[in-house]
Amino acid sequence: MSAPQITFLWNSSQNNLPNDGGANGNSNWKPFDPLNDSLAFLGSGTNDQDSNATKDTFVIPESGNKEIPRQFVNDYNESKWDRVWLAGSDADEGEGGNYRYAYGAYIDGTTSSVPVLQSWDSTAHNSFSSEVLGSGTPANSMIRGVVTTNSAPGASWAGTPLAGDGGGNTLELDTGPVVDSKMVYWNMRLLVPNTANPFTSSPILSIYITYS
Amino acid sequence: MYDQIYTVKFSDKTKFIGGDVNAPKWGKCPEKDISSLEILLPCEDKIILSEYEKYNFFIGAIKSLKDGKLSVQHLFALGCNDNIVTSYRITLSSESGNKYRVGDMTVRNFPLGKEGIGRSSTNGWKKGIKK
Repeated sequence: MSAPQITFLWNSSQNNLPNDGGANGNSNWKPFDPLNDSLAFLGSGTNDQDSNATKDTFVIPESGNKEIPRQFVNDYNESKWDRVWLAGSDADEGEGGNYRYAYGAYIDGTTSSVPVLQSWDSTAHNSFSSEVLGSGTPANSMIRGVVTTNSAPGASWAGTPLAGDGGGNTLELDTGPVVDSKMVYWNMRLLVPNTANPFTSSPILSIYITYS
Repeated sequence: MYDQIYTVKFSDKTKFIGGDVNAPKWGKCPEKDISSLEILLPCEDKIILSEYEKYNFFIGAIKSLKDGKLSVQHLFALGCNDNIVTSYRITLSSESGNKYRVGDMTVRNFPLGKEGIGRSSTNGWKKGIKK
């Protein structure tokens, strides 16, 4: 087999349904433009289709942890925020919930082992030292993910802290290697502790695959 | 990247030459008893796996949401005896600040079924012979 093709997609609708359109998506699922689009975690004052010239930032909590309530794709071509409606949890004041179909990737081809979702400081994939990724301690990463390829995440899901490539801080996106082209799914949240410093950070999400 | 990254030698004295990192062709390797799996390293040295009950081979690559390119990272050659997998991981790509340099090899043992990325099972095992 040769290297499979990977396409990242997000669900732009409020319909908790899978993507049946492969790499091209469908009326609900949109493929990311990897060169121009980006993900953003924003406050409740930002709404779907708002201009991306402005945004509502998030206030660090005075106590405990709070989830940044809304997630968006910064649609570069249309200069607007596209809300990822089903993203996040409903715990810690998040505006998500028990949703299975928020983010996904279409794996076109086969793999030798299960695809794994990782988070890094940059595309060099060699550090996770930013505060949002736990300042070098993966368990403290604010980015939390849950695999939803085969089931919903459950009510008020907590998620796994994502940072680097250590097994405990990555997400296996299925139960085994990909044997036929398919979608894999996950949901994410960003949980900010009261000890956080003000930050603007641009960590990246990546999928590690193997092929032969 | 270099071509012909591995050679499989069989007990019947024939051999199969693999492809490159983008299309390794492990799936096209004949289903015959393997006597050795020879890996060509980026420095053009070789490592030879032999005396295993079964063998596996694959490439590890990563794609980020940001740049959209699939970046080849590692080559994996695996041998298994008595349900213990020995994994030889060779670094194929490295940037400034990376812990491992191109050509560095990491050897680890795993229980069979835990040898994959994320400690799950892998597909693609092929039968070998022990002398």
